Amino acid sequence: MLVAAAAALLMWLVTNVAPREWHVPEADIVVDGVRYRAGPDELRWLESFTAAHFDAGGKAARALVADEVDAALDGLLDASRARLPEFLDWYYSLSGEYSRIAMAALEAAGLAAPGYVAERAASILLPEDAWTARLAGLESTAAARLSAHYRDVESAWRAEVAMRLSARRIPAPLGPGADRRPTLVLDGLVRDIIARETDALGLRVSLSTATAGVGAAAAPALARAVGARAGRAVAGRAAARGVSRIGAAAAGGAAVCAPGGPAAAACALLAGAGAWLATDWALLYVDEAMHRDELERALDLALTNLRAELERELDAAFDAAIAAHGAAVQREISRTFVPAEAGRDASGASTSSGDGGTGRDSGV
Amino acid sequence: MTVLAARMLALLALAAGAWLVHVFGRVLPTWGAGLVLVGLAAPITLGLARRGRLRCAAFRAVYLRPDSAVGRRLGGSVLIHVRAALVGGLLALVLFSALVRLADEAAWAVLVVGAPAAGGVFALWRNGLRGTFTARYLPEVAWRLTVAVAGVAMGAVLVWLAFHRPYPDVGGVTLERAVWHFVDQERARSAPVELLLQLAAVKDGVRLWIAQQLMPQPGLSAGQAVGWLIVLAEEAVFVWSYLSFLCPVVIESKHDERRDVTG
Repeated sequence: MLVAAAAALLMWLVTNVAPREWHVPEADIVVDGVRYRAGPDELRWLESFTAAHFDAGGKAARALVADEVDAALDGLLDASRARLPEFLDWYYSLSGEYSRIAMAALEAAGLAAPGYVAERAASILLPEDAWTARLAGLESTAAARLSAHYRDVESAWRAEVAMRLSARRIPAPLGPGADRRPTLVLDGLVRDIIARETDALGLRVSLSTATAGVGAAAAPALARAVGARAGRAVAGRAAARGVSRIGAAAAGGAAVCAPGGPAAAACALLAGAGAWLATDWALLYVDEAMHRDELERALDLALTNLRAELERELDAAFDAAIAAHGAAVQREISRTFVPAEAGRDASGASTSSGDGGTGRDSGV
Repeated sequence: MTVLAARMLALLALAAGAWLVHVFGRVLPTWGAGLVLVGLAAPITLGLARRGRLRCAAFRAVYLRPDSAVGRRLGGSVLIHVRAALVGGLLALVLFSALVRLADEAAWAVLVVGAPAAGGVFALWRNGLRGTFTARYLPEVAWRLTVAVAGVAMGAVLVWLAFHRPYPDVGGVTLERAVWHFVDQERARSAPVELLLQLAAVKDGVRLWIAQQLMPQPGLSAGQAVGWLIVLAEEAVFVWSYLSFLCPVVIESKHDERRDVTG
């Protein structure tokens, strides 16, 4: 009876008490389809290395983009500087003079918007077509270089991970679910990073469009500076011309047409107009001789300031895109490495239902 | 309580010890696993040595004069114990890895039932053959027949259980992946224990891979027969080591032998 009771008790124990399993805090890592077994130290290293590597990649991307922006703005400003003589020629021409006077009169009468000279300067120095083409070139070049850069960053990351974990390579499990350890499929992480990089490029496209608007808004600012400088000259010249033109016209008409008899009035009108134009031309000539270089330097300085402002704007725009990309990558890295936490925090021994063991008779 | 009942309880205690090895074998520290191995090897060695002395005594009684020089020197004490210790250590390793890895509850039921059953079968054989064999050799004969009966029965059930156990399909994978599948599941706190378990897993992986390569289609074939012969041999070794572990409880001590002789 006692034997039967002991046997029954032992039978109950063997069928109801599970063996104690020893769990090693490990996780499987899949990179480029190759599986590695990583312990807590390797997991910590991999997470910190991945974060640091892509962060450094982001910093390098900023420097790369800054170079691109610098080169693009150099080209843009060189072209603008090359157009300075064209603007100055117009500015110191009679047509330019009378255009400004006419537009000033219309502006005073409320028939035209202010800033004619500013718009003219912007249209000559910063033509929309050239500006748009240059930004489009910057956008495509930067995108291509960033794309290549991120590919290099990912390739270097893969190579380093494969090299560091080469001693921990393991065969693939027999099938889905055959391995119950946490598995980090870092191919997915790389895919997501590439997708986010593509998103960042899309963001840059919209940013470059916005930056084109910034340029268009900055151009009038440049032109207003020119207009302020020119306005002072125009006012000086107008005051001088107001007296000299009238005097020259009256003197010219009286001198030339005094003996004209009945045709003296028409003669005086023509002679006065001629004297008016000649006076204006002479005054413009003198003004150009005195102030053209100064105006050119002022415009050059304004273009330089505009370039610096645009560089800041573009760098900020690209930095924002790269920073957003970097933040997304870091989030992706943190999210990806969460499954490994279970492996890291697992205690050594725990009770399981016995499914971790294999049958001794796992034979034919 | 009768002697037989006490013996069966002792056998159940040994079976419980074997089950505890299964429960805690993977979480033992190395020194603990060493003690467990000694605990497995000691009874096996004791049983083997006791049987060896019985055989030696029988040989002396039959073939040698008691007063001869050879008869006096052929006590067999040292050689028998050394040989028993070597075999016992080897069987303890086999038994330890097998017990730790034996996850089938039905197989454990076989071991639990088999322990007292072995004691009962031994008692039956001993009583049945008491009039045929001398008292000194009777335990050895009864044990051999017990191993033949109980061992074959246990082995047959274990093979039957192995036959109905599901196995992973490794027919289409490389040997490396097949072996790794089994090795990767063997974890233990003690590195030597883990190595021992993984070596046993390598054996399982190689055997299963070869078997499934040789006989991809179900049905009888020479390869299948070879595969099952290997399983049979494994079960035989396991049952042999398990019964050897129970042996010192079943076979009487010298005191019992004397009692049998006198009474």
